[in-house]
Order: sequence, then C-alpha cells, then structure tokens
Amino acid sequence: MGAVAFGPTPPPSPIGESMFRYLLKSLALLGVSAVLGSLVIFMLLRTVGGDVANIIAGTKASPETVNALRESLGLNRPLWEQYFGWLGGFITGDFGTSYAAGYAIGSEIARRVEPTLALTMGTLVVSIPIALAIGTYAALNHRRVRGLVVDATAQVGIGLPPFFLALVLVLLFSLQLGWLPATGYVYFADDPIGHFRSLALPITALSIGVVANLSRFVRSAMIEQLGEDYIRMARAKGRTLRGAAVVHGVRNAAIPLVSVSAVQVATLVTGAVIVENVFVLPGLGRLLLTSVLGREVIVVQSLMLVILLFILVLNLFADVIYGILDPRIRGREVSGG
Amino acid sequence: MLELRNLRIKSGHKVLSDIPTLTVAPGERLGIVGESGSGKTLTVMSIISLLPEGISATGEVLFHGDNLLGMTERRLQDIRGKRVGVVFQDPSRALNPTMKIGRQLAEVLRLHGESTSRDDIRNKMLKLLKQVSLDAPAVINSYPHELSGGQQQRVVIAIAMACGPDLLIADEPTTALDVTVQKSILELLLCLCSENNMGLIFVSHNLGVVQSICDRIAVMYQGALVEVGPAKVILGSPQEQYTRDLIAASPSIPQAKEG
Amino acid sequence: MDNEPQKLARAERGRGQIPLQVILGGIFAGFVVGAVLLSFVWTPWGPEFFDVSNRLTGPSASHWFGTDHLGRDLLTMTMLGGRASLSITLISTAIGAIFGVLLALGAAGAPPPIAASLARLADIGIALPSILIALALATALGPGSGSMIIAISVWFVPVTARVLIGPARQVLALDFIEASRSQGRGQFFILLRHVMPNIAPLIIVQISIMFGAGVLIESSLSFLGVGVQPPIPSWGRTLSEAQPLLSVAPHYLLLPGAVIVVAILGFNLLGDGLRVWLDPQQSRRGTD
Repeated sequence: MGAVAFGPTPPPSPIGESMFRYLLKSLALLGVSAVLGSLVIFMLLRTVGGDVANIIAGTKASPETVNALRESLGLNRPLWEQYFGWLGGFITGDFGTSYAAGYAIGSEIARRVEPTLALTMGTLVVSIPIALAIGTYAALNHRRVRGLVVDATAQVGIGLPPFFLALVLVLLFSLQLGWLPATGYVYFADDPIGHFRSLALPITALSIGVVANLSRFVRSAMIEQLGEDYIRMARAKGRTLRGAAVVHGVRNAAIPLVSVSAVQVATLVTGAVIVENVFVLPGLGRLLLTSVLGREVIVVQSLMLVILLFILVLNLFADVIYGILDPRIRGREVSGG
Repeated sequence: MLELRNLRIKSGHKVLSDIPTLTVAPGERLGIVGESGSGKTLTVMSIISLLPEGISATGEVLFHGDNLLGMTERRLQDIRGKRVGVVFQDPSRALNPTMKIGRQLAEVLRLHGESTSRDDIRNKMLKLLKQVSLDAPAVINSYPHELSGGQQQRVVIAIAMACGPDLLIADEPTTALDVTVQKSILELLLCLCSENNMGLIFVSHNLGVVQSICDRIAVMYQGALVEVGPAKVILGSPQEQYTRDLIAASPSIPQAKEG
Repeated sequence: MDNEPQKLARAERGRGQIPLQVILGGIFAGFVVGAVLLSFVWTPWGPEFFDVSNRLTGPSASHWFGTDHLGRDLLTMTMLGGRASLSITLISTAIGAIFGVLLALGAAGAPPPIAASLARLADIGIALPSILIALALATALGPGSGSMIIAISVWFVPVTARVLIGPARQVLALDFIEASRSQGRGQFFILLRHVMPNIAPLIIVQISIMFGAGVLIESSLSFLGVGVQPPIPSWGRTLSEAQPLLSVAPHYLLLPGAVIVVAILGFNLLGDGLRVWLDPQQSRRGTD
C-alpha cells in the first residue's frame, strides 16, 4: 500500500510573510484614499460655496474685516498653493485657529478624540459579538417562528433613527428611572466608573442600529454557510448542527460580513456624530456640528479630514481582519493565483 | 452488519426513493450505481440521518442490530465519525477553507475522545496521514487550498477513517478529481478497506469505477433498486434491461480486482 | 417583431401571493404619505394657529398629538413637517434612481474592464457617509434643502448603480439578447428596451429602500439643524425642539417620532417585501 509520500505544492508560506504583503497593500490603498479624500474635501469647501472669507466672517462683517481675514488665511493665493499649504500644515500639526472662538484647531481636535474613540470602539466591541450571536441564532432557526421574530425585531431596529432612539433611551433610563446621566461626558482619567456610566446610553443607542444591521448580514451569510458541504462534513464527524455552525460556520460567515464593513463603518461614524450631539459628548462630532452651524470653513476642513482618516483606519482594521479570517486572500498574494 | 429495510425517503408527499432490502456484510465492499436523480446519495445519507431539510426517511436502517433511523440525535452523533465514516464528493468543499488541515483532522479525534493529550493527537494524525500517503507535518499546517484535489481527498479519507469505523460511506469520491488521480484514490480506498476489514459503500454513476473495487453492486434507477448481486454476476449476466444499458454505456476500465 | 420588450416568463419570476411585508409596509408607508398629502388640503388646525397659554399639553380630544412649545397643534405640525422630509426624499430618490439606472445600464453594456472599474467606483461611492457630505455642503452653501438633496443624491446614485449592475449584466447574457443583436439592434436599444424592463422590479425595490433611507437621513440632518430652516416645519427639527422638554412633555418626542419610525419602517418593509415577491432568487440572500 505505501506509495510515495506526497507533499503539498507549493510549500505553505508562513502566515507572517503573506500577511505583511497584504498589510502593505492595504496601507497603500489607505494612503491613496486619504489623498483623494483630502482633495474632495478641499474642493467641496473652498470652491462650492463661493468666497470663503465671506462665509466665515458672516453677513454682518464689514468689507475691511473680510479683506483682513482673507489676507490672514492666505485666500488670495492660487488654489493649489492653498491646498498644499493646508496639507503641509496638517502633517506638521498646524491647523490654524478658529475665527469665531479663537481656539487653536489642532489642540482642540486632539482633546476631542478620546470621547469619539471611546464611543465608536465601545460600540464595535459591544455590537459585533452580539450581532454574531443573534445572526447565528436567527440562521439556525430561520424556518421557525423564533427566527422570524428575531428577524422582525432586526427590521424594526434598522428603521429607528439613531437620534430618536437615543432620546427614547434618555427618556426611559435617565428621566424616568434615573439610572444613567442624560448628557455629559466623564474622561476616563478623571473617573473610570463615571466614564463608563456616561457612555452607557450613547453606546446602547448606537449599538442597537449596528446590531440590527449586522445581524441581518450575519443571518444571511450563515444561512448560506449552513448549506455548505463542510458543515455536512462536520456533522458527519459527529458534531451537532449548532456546534458545526459555531466552529466552522461563524468564521466563514464573517467573511462576507467584512466585505460590507465599509458601509457599516460609514454608518457607524455618522451615527456617532449624531449621538455625540444628542448626549452632548465633547467629541469630534460635536465640534463638527458647532463648526458647521457657525460656518467655520477652516475648522470643518481639517476636522473632516481627521474624520475621513478615522474612517479609513477603521476600514484598514476590517481589511486586516478579513486577511486573518480568510487565508485564501493572503495566499493569492504569494502564489499568484 | 448493515441492513436497510423498507427504506423510503420522502420530500413532503413525494417519494424520492424506496428500497425494500439491502445489506452490507462486515468488510464487504458494496457499490451503488445509478444516474443523477436515482436517489443513491439520499439513500446513503439516510444511513446516518444527514438528510437535507424537508426530506425525511422511514423504515429501518439496522447497524449491528440497532435501528439508526429512530435514534436520538445524541446517539447518532456518537456513531457518526466513529463507527461510520463519510467521504464526500468534492473535497475542496468538504474541507473548511479557513481552517488548517490539522485542526480539522484533530476535530474528529477530539469529538470521540480518541486521544486527549496534544502529543497523542499529533501522533495519531501523523499515523493517519501516513496511511493515506501524505507528508504529514507539512500537511497538518496547511490550508485546504494549498493542497491539490487528490491530496485534499486523501485528507478527507483520513478524517473519515480516523476513529476506526466499521463502515465507510463514499459518495462519488472520485468524481470531482482528475482522471489520473482517480485511480490512486481508488487504490487507496481498496487498500484501507481490506487492511482494516472496513465495510465500504461506494456510490457512483460510473459503473467502471465501481466495478474495479466492489464485491457487490446495487443498481438504482429513479429511486428504486433495480438489481443487486455480486459484481461478477451483475456485469457478466445482468438480469434487467436497465443494467444492460448501463453496462453498455460505460467505457470499460480493465482492472483486475485485488484480493 | 423585436419591438416588444421581451419579458422573462412569469414562471421564472416566481410570483406567488403577496407577502405580509408588502402589505404591512404598504399600509405603514401609505398611511404616513397619505396624511402628509392630506395636509395640502386640510389639517386639524390651521398652520398659523398657536395659543401660548395652551403649550405642551398632552394628547387630548381636540389635539390628538397634543401641543408644542408654542401651543401649536402637534399633529398639524407633524403633517406639515412631513412635506419637507418627503419632498426632499422624493427628489433625491428620483435623481438617484435615474442616474443610478443610467450608470448601471452603461456599466453593464461596457466591456468587462470598464464595467469592473465602474463597479469599484460605485463601491467607493457607497462608502461615502452622506451625512458628512451634507454637513460639508451646509458649511459651504449654508443649511437648507439644497445641500441635503445634493448630499443624499450623491450617495443614492452609486448605491442604485451597484445593486443593478449585476442583474443588468445577467440579463445581457441571456439568449434573446443575442437574437436581438443578430437582428441588427444596437446596444442602446437593447439596454433600454430589453434590459431595463427586466430589471424594473429591482429598480422599484431599490426606490422603496431609498425612500426609507432618505427619510432617515433627512430627519437626522434636520434634527442636527442643518436641514430646512424655520419657519418651514420639518420632522427632525420638531424632535430637536422636543429634546429639552423631554421631562415635561414626552409626547412631543414620542408621537412625531413614531410617525417618522412608521414611515421609515413602512418603506423598508415594502422594499424588502417587494424584493421577496418579485425576485425570489435574489431574495435568498436577504441582505441590502
């Protein structure tokens, strides 16, 4: 019986190497997107609305004030010079100052990163496991009443605007029950417990929408997986259906999930902006809104780029996770096909 | 060892397959031949109750005297993988693409408590992979897509055999493979079954393939058992017209049966 | 003979009985749209009416939704507020649908490399957060319906295109297209007369979904204050007015809010249900 011993061809590459190449590729993509995005932001804000100095100074300002402003902001220079000047300042950390309030934009943005980060990361950490669990449950029961109930609930969850949901939560948990604060944020360094309490309602508000959305994707991805042969094979080994789904299905179901992550990240960040304003959390979203309402073009410009970078980094994480989950993606880089 | 009695497989009210009687003796190799839609896969899957949703089976599947058809899922899980092993048609789909081979092989060992320590399991895996002629340490760390079709199928066979089952069910195991590879897989199956006194049920639409390794052949057509008998008899003096047509339609594969 | 757009056999489409989602969604959405349309002819109280002595009262026989912070009838304000939301959504959806379909048809008919890059472009477009674009536009142009419509349409176009490219290409690969081509029909004609009618059900599904998304985005933007400005009423702004008054007048938040939710839910259900009903093959994926 003993024929020649076979070996796999080509020899499997260590995970590190193909991962590294994949990471490089993703980073390059991020760089290109960031540059393109900055161009779009710049064009949108500096050209679409007409004279920027006018916008910032407002309708009540005298022509002299407007001219002075134009000078100090360098708005008389050619457009491309302004663009590179802006980017240069961005990289070195010089973002300029706010016209109306006079604060240094750079340091203000730096101060506001923590609340936004805490909110978004907290939401992801909470939502993803819950969405996986609910989606898998719904998939396993998709022909039974329980599965339909879960699906219907998710439907309702998608239709709830985050701001409405947030206010309802405030009504219930803050005003009626008095358990949690309605507005305000506590920095982690000042009071860890207060920090989490101040984030409880905002994260819940955001998570419900994210879970509703994600769990529907998980459900359909899972239902597809359940029809796959390797699930059958796992059962032929002696696993229960649920065991096969969890051990084999979840990982594979997560893959198409990651492919819709770009949209989910965008939804998450927009939701965060809204939720920050409802709960008056001093994060990037709140700064964004006040600047927009105050027509502070310079502030909005840099702030938008920061938020864009944030979105791109989150997408990078998603890509990395995709690479970890699906070895075939990495493999393609190395063997070339 | 295995006896199917009045096995009727239905989807709702529609009868998909009906087998009055079919047996497999210990160590015997039975081939089930038929075209697509003949119900052969469903029949064989119903032995371990792995039927798709909406399809049910009635009758008796007696395995060492116990009726598998009425059993609780718990007891079935004990039997699946341990007393009965399954080799699926397309190994690239039967193996989880995102999991290393080693993990998938170890899974069946752990499920049935065959070994508990990591070293123990690793040794067992090395032995199993050697039995199917694979370079063990390299394969254990690979992902399915890094192996060729033939190698993948050898892994599947190794998994199916891992716990020393009495019966191996092979559902079109060579159909998805290149012709050149098919022969070696067939030889491997023949070898393993005779060395371990393992029963084999080999399902295929290809009479030539079945004839090369099976002692007895059952012919199915549209859910019914057309003819059963020793391979030599079926091929030499077929009783039914359908069997005759089937023989005429297959390209002959001259394969002397190994004792 | 080729003048009749060829429709795929009904049996292939698999139309069965109307799913529950369509009925429910239709009722919800229809109810809200109907109430808003009604506002053009009649409202429970006049739009100009207010009675400060009667502010922030809860639901009653004369004021079904109660009164707002100026003593205006909340139901009237809600009905009027729907006008802005629905019209902005309508315009954005129309733009999104028209250009999205054109883009999808164009990409479907183009050679594979171009089609693939257009699909990639659409993917990037989908990832654009339309609310952020709206905020940027509001900074440059000032708040109002204009920037909202632009921002929402800019997102709707790639979303629609992305969904339709695949099915459009599938239709193009069918046999009767070849037959039509062999009769000398040009690409343009084929796309318009053969492909479009066959993806029409999907377009309708997409429109319904865009309506749901549009109302959600518009009301969120209005809530933040970058939507239509006073004195034009809008759903989102009504809720933002309700925020500081939550403890004294919860109805101010809950009742108009419920209307928004019912509208969005209705359109979403309608879209999902239509997808299941009109194209069961694709519905098995069950995702947006």
